[in-house]
Amino acid sequence: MSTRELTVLTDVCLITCVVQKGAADHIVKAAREAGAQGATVFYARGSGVRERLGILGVALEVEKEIITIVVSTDQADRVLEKMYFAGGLDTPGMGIVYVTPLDKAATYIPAEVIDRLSKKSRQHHSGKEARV
Amino acid sequence: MALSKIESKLITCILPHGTGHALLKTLSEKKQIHTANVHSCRGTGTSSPVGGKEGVGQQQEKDVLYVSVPTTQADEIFEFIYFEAGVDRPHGGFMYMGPLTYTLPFTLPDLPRQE
Repeated sequence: MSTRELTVLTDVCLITCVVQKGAADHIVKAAREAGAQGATVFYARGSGVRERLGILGVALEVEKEIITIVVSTDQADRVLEKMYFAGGLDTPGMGIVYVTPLDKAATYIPAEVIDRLSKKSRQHHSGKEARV
Repeated sequence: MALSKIESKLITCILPHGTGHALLKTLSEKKQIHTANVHSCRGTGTSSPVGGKEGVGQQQEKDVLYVSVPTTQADEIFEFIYFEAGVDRPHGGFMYMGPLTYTLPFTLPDLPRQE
C-alpha cells in the first residue's frame, strides 16, 4: 500500500506587485531571471496617482495587473529589487511591491529530490556532530 | 460593541484551471468552511513549457483559491486541501499559508440549502 506524504517548504515569503495593465510580463521575466520559479498574474481595478493628475490621468491605466510570486526568504531581496527596477517602480505612480511572510508552502516534489535533500541534510548534521 | 476577533491563517492555492470550484464545494460540504473564494489568473511555474511572449515561458490559465481558517484548524485544512486538490501530484499546483492579524466571524443565515 502506498502512503501519501506532505512535504512542506518553510522560510518562504510572498512578493506581491501591483502595476499598470500590460507591465506584468516584463516584471515576471526579470523575477524569473533573478531566481523566482514561478509567478501568477491577475487583473484588478485600482486607484492611486491617476486621481491626482486631473485630465492628464487619462494617460494612466485604471486597470492593474497583480503579480504574486513565492520565493525563499534568502532570495526575496534580490527578486524584489529586480522587480522594482524592471517595473520602474522608482517612478511615482508606477506601482507598488511588498513582501508578506508565509508559514509554509507545499507542492509536488519528486521522491528523488526529497531523498537527495534528506541525504544532504543528514550529512550536514553528522558533520556538525563530528566537529562538536 | 466588542468585536470577537479570531486568530486566523490564509491558505492560498494555485490550481489547474477548472478545479477551484469543485474544491470550494468540497470544503463547504466536508469541512463546513464557507470562507473561501476562487478567481482565475494566468501563471508560469517550474513545469511550464519554455517559450511564450517576452521569454517568461508559456503561461497557462489557473484557478486561485483563498481560504481563511482559524489558526487551530489551519494545519488540518492545509493537509486536507493538499491531498483533496491533488497538489501532491505532478502539475497539481502550488499552495501556501500565511498569517492574518485576525478575522471576524462569518456565519451563513439559517436557510435551507437549495441545489
